[in-house]
Amino acid sequence: MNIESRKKALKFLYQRVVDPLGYKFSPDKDLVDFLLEQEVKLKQKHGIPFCPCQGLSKDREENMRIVCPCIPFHREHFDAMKRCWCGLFVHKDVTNSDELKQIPVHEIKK
Amino acid sequence: MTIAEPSWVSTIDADKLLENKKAAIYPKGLPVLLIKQGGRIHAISNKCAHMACPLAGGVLEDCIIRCPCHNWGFDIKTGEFLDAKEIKIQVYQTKLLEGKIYVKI
Amino acid sequence: MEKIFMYTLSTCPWCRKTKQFFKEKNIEFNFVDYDLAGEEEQDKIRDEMSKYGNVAFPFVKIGEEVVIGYDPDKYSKLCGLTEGK
Ligand code: SF4
Ligand code: FES
Repeated sequence: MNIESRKKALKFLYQRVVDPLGYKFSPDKDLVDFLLEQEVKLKQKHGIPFCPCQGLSKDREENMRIVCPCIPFHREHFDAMKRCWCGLFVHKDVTNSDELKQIPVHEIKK
Repeated sequence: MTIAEPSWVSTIDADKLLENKKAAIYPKGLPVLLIKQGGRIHAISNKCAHMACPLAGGVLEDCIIRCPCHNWGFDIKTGEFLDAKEIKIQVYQTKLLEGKIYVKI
Repeated sequence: MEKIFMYTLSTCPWCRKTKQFFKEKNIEFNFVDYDLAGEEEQDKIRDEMSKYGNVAFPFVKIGEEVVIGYDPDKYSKLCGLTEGK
């Protein structure tokens, strides 16, 4: 399988996961394309499509919380931003993803 | 595509499934996992809701099965994903008849 | 000018945008790509980031201030750039 078909395969799997959570792929096509490509490469390297925007540690359990789509493990944080940390996924009602900012988790008001 | 009504399908012998054990079966060609827990037989989809890894290789702890691929945990009674209940795997009804496990699928 | 240092990931588009931001403004910076660092160095980086309460990328240190995430407005402010949008 080439990179393009691997990207498509990930997209297909992720769509089913994020939809019931109220998320969709970002309308920013270039960003989606870039991120999926990074994930394909991370999957080739580690066997797992880890998050391109979060750092791996030595702790397997911790690392499992940053396998894409990691939304279930960071729900409050991502819901507050209306996007995931990478911006691969946004809330379904978002039309302009450029307006959404990365807000560090400790600045999210509880 | 026509979707057939679920019907009872005879699967494996009941005495083949021991307590706290799993058995991967394919009634009507579909991947199903039988699990015996607390004397009850549960039937769930054998495909993880995350990336479709077979749950048969997962770890069973009480009513929770953890996917061997990336640890997602599911309640074997309801099929609910523990970290987001909106995500579910299919659960099927089971019954015992003449020493056989039946699954409604 | 404040000294600028950042921890980034080579795979992360927001880290790239952060670097791009400073390059466009002709502001010098140093960085380490965490994912390309050795294990020992990664441990050290995590320890340092934890002091700021959050291990997340991009992690941008401008003088003594830390900004986590791609936030051009904050970068501008801390660098004393008065930039109209
Ligand atoms: S932050 Fe977004 S892209 Fe990264 S793993 Fe989580 S859901 Fe996937
Ligand atoms: S495929 Fe089951 S947790 Fe990822």
